[in-house]
Amino acid sequence: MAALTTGGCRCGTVRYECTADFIATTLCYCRDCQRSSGSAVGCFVLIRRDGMRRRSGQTTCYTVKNDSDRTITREFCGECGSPLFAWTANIFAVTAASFDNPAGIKPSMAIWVDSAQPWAPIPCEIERFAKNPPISSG
Amino acid sequence: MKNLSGGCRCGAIRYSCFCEPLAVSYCYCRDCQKASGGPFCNYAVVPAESVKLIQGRPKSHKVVADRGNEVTREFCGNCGAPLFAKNGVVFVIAVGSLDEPSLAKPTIAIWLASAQPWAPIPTDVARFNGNPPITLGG
Repeated sequence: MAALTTGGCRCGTVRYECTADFIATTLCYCRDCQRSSGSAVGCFVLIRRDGMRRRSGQTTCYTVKNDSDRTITREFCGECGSPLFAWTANIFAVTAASFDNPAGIKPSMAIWVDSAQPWAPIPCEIERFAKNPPISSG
Repeated sequence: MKNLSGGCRCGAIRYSCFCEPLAVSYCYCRDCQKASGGPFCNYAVVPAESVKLIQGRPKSHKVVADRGNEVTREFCGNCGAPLFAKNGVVFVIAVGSLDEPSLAKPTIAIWLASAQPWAPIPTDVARFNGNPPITLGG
């Protein structure tokens, strides 16, 4: 049974509840995730789109072509800038650190490692993909 | 070393930095996790006066960080890309916003005491559970 997992932005404006099981958790090293996080890597939990319930606040959306030339929309809090969601036609993902209690999250794959900065740490114990994994992950 | 240049994802904001970074860090504090959506932020510490905005104007948000001090983060209000952060003592550039993040190899990791269990942690940097002896995280 899916546990209710809450989260939101840094300033508290945007709050959400996630009732879906986690499909996968990825560390993404693509250039678009680097820019969107300001760091070497993004971390996302993939869920079913209908498992996300927005409880308060409105996000700001920005849509762009990502490293795999697909349209991706990223949602962030317009007040504090916290990245919250990223989605394409095929997937819906929640930024791992936006959960209230992200300690139990466990990334199972590292993707777009071909785009990683040469100094970026990539865990040895998880599967790596040069670009997207075989499943449609946007 | 060449000048650093960078900007946001949508192109609205562009900047140039006429100074080599004093230090480049990983920060694992909870506020940086929220600001990036991922396991850490990467910052290049530079004198504030060395950064010139060439185009656009970031949005600012002030918050109280892990140590109790105020941190102002600046991001693009249109696309959400993290750009800068400052706390009255240091000014930093989000490394993911640089045109060439490969030029900004981090040499220290701070606030490891707050790191998520799943966070990738580099082995080739100096590590600190909180702030380093010099004022980087404020």
